[in-house]
Amino acid sequence: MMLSKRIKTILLCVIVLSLNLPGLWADGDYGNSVVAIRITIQQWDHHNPWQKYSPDTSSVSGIVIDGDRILTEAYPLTDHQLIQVMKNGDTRKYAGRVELKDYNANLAVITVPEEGFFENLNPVTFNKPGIPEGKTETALWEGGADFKIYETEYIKTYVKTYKYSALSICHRMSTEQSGSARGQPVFDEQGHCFGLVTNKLNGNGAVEVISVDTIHRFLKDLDDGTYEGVPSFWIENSPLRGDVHLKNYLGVAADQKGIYVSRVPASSSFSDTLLHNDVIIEIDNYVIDDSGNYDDPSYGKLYFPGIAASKHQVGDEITLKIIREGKETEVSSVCRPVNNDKFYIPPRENDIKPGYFLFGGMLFQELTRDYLTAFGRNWRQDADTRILYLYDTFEVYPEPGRRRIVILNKVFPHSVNIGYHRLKNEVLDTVDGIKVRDLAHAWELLKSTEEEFVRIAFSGGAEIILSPAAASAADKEILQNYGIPALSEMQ
Amino acid sequence: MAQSPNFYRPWEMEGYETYSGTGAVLEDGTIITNAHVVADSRYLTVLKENDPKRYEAEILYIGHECDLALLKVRDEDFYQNISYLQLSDIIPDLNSVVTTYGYPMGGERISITKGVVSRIEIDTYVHQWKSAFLQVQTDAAINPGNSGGPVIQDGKIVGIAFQGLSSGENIGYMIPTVVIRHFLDDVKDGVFDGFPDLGIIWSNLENEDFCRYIGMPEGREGVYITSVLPGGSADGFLKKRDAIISVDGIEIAADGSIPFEQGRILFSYLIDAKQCNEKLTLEILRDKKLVTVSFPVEQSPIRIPNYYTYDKKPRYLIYGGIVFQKLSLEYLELWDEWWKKADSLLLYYFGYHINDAVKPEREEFVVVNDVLPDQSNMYITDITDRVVDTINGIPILKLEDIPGAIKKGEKGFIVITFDDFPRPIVLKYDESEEAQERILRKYGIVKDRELNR
Repeated sequence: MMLSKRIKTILLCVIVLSLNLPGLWADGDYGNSVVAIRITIQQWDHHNPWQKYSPDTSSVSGIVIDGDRILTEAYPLTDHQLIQVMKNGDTRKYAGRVELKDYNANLAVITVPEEGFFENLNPVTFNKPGIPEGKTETALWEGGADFKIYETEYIKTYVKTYKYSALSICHRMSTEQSGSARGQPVFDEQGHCFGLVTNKLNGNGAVEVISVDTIHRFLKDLDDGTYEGVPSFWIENSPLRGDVHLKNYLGVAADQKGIYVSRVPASSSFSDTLLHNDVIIEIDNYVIDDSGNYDDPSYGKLYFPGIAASKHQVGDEITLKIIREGKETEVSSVCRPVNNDKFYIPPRENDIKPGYFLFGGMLFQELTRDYLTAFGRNWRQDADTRILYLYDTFEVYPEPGRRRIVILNKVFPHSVNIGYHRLKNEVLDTVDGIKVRDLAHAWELLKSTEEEFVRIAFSGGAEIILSPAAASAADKEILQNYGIPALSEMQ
Repeated sequence: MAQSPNFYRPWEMEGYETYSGTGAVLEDGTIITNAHVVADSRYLTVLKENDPKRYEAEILYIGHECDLALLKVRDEDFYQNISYLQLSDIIPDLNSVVTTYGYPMGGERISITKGVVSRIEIDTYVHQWKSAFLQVQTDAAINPGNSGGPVIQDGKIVGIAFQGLSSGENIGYMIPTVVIRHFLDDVKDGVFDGFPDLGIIWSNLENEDFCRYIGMPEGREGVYITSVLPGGSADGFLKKRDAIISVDGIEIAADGSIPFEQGRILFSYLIDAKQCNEKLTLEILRDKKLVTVSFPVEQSPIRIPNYYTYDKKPRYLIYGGIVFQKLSLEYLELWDEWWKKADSLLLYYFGYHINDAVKPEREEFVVVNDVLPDQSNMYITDITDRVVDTINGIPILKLEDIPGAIKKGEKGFIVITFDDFPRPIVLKYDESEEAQERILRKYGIVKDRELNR
């Protein structure tokens, strides 16, 4: 036993030595540009929206930037409770404060209010956009005290998109680092920072790195006053992909390249400018090819939403060259932010206490992405197929009169709701025949009724009838009985 | 020997397989067995105990939903030394002893097992997965091969063994004689019509406030209609928001049950007992008034079958290399763990098209399964498992609409659009017409369509 432990120790030393070697050729002393951050989070349980899951603590890194600030990744800060920052290999912890989080860009800025914290720290210098040349490496304080440098290798650059928008221009890099690698800087041979590690890809071996393009856009947005976010570029589209028949049908020359526009959701910057059957051939004077890519001056071919992720601020005007009904024409739009209020099904509502209300033991909530992901890792398979269908289609094909989709999550059994116990994940349609607009509207309709009975109807024909007086009396018992702190929580 | 179609390449059949089961000879010389024993059969023989000869048999009638089939052997020799069995008039009592006869796995000769009746209930007949009928559970061992064998009490058939529960122990099920007689009565006119249904979706009326709200008279109960299937039995007679109080004078409880033998059973039993086109009389509560309605019951059309189809070829049509099919349970089963892993739009349509009245104008949902590559369609990319909306602007409500919609449209194109999909298929009419024969020949397809229902 002892023997094997010794062998292990010796082996470890060798590995550490070899990993430290690349540091010898790097000129930078990165140690005072990187900090270790311990984040304690506690996430809301979106299926029991008055309570939270167990707290969880994780370790990430951050980069010291100009203005006594720390730049790191946004996602690990979701629903954070406590941020502790460590520097220079010292395990003394300093309380940090979040200055700004943008989940769409996946970037956050943290400050440390304690006087003098930044005194022996050096802000990094960022590189210009472009593919890093020569050797590259990433650095972190492992466990807060152990400074480690790992060699990295550039693989490719791509645009990371969500269905509703571009998020960032990212690099894929290979690394030998095992374990968590979030929020670390990546340096080039000259010691300039050219990205921030966000994510392990395929387990070990490769990481995703947010490029300086996205970081610059983010910092410029922040430093020009109010932070407005990444412009929304959501266009339901299909690149033409050399489909000569489709091109002919749309009145586009066979050698003309571009993307076919199917629909544009209301939340997009282009909702008022683009039409069904338009073909986009240029954005901002960048020619769009048949795969939907533009030629980025720094990286070559990138997917077109990368223009928003790197080059634009909310309020900028973007000009598109399109072909509409066979005629080439120009249209322009003013960039709008990705704004949760504009969505029928909000993509993520991190840090926001989920809204709900109880009525006769029936728990009503709005359908959000967080509600769906609360079905677990396999939520795409385990959630009810009707609400998945709504999630997939409602943003593009909304129903007039609805601002949000209200869901009956479940029923807390009580004598008042006998006969309704099996209802769950039903989509609320009307209250006394009135179409429900959103959660607040449903709550208002149910609270204000003066009838003896209220009729609540769901999509698909299921209905329930309750006496508001009886429901209200029952809810007091239900709160008590099931340990629910409040009848309602409206955002 | 049985052979089933391939739903991925609907113009092809799978290789044949051999199945065996058990049957019982009835008084008129016909053999009753399970439909699943002889489904999709291409060649059928029967053997009897102590006789080495194989006798060719033919199927007279097959009822997949009740898992029963009636066979006939032409060779008179077969009927030598045969004892004919009678159908009992009773449903055996709970805990009474029954004996099953059959040729299950584990040997060649007849096997006889004894057990008791352990439960009587309405549940799914899994062969077609279409309907739930009365079934009798017994602990007499029923194993593969027992299927179709008689279950005897007092020298008469009280049931036909038909399904088991692989996860349980000694849980076997038989088809009671009420269902067998229904099948035999049904086919007397030479056609199997099947079991009628009401064509409604209902919910319980257990909530007192609900009952008060709809004006349920004191002391009465019933069930509440949440959907009426278009074209079904109740269409035009019953409405959404009616409550059904009684069926043919028998009162329905708030949970949908009626009295039965010593216990209770779902009221669908009363509809199952009818033959197609028989009349049913319902007492209903509509707009707070009790009214009586009578109408004949039949089988309701289901736009996306949630049950299996046998002895029929899959419906399909191939044009320009595009394989069009109807959305069905078998189509979804092309996915492993299809109920959660199949395309999410298809799953939504499958699960909710009745409740949500999805695209009510459609008779069926036409899906593009695949595109057989050819120079005429080489620009098409990524179109699989998409539901067709229109062709040249004409709504596609059933497969038969496709040939009429395919014509030289504007500028000589055929344009196909899909539900919730951002890109149309565009084909050149002249090229596709010219390619049709070539594609069929290239991919070894004999028929470009199978539209029989």
